[in-house]
Amino acid sequence: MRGLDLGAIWADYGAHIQSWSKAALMLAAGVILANVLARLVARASLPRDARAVLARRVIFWAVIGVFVASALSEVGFDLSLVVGAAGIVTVAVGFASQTSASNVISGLFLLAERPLSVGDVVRVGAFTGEVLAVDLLSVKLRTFDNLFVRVPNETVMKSEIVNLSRFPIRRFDLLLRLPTDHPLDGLRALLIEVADQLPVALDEPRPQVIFQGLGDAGFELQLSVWAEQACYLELRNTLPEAVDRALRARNIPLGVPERRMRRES
Amino acid sequence: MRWWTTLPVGEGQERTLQLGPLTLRLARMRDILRIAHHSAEDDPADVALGEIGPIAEVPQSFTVERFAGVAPVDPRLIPLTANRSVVSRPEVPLVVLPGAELDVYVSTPLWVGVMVGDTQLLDLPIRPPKPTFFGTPTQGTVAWAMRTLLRVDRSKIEPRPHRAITPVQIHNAGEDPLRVERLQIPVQRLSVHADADGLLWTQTIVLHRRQGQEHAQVELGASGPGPALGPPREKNGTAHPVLHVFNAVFT
Repeated sequence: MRGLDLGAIWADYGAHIQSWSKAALMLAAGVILANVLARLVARASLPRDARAVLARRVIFWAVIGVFVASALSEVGFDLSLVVGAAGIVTVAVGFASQTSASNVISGLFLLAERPLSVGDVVRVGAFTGEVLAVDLLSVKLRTFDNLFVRVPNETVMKSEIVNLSRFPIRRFDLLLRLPTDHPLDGLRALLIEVADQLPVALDEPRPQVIFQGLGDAGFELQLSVWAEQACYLELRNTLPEAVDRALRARNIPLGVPERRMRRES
Repeated sequence: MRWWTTLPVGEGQERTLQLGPLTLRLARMRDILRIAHHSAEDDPADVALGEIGPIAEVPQSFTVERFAGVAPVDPRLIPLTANRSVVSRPEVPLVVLPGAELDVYVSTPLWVGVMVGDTQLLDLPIRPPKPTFFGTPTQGTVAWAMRTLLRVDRSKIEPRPHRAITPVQIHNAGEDPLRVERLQIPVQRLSVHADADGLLWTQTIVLHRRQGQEHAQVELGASGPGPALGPPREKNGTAHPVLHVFNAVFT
């Protein structure tokens, strides 16, 4: 019985063994490098930053892709076949995934333009809520009654986005109809005094009473008061109560629509 | 009375202090310290200061907090500056002509800290100020609002237990008058000092308008009289410009 002739094996298969070994080393190096680069990006960016998450994924898979292609080329694989097949697959997938592709592209624009960020309170279409995530395909919201809403990025891009928490302060407008029996300057002074006494109302910008018109119910006035973003809800609840108390204390009723008719004979 | 002092409260005892509009009641039961506090917003007795008699039943308007595991040392009260900038609006605007320099005095609101050893139990405004905003509607700072007389004569300053005096040096090196209608004072970066008369002061603020600048910049100046009663809330660096002051009316 003949023993194993390593020399002959090496002579026959040595080149293949070398090339496969190189390919394996390339793959291993690619995985390590991709991980290192992805972690560097993660460390250099803010946590929960959607753009950083996207960049990490892109860098990771791009590096892996380059090293896989190099490894395949090393073992003698003809990449032109892959490129050709990839072209046909791309066309087919492109037709089939137009919507997803649109969402992805819209997502990239959202990340670049940043009309909303994680943690913002926004209104998109019929939904108002806190932004939980801005992902590649969709934006996730949590409504105030604790519902989870997934809005495709394409829809977000096409809609008007109202970012309720972008700026540090916000104004609340209270519309009032007050009878014309009372002088307008007195009503204005009373409403400003009420606003000034509210703890959450900002001293500046100053509260304002804006005359909207004269309607069937009397003077139509808009009391505009500013508050910090975080105190807006409290202002919205306490201002009407305070105005109601002040009007009742002075026997000033809210205006009721009335029409006066005169009969002539 | 220097209210920034140690307030011994034995077991089963209570002490009640009036600091201007703030009523502060401390009571100790075993190792639990119970603190009740209330600030009367419209209290005309602005300068009331001293210990008052025991309160049989704490009114509902008081906020009550209990602290368990408190170290067996006497509580200590310390004066603190406000936890945000203060926007001071002079009742009569001041116009500083080009080349002029002057010193004015602004009173700023104080907070009281209740300390047990090195642990701060409470951090309360003595008189809750009104919030305000300094900046444009899209960018600015939420601060506390104050009206001030912007006194020039130091001897006319009325001592009040819930206010510290902040000296402001105004330099107008510009070519046109500097109209001071609002002043944002970064009090959270100032330390509180007590002088020999028991008045509370903060570090000096320098309002410097340089040539070619439209607005004045606020810089931190000299320390207050006497030793600091505690560190500033926020540490500041060297005397670099920290804020700008708008010299136009905010609309």
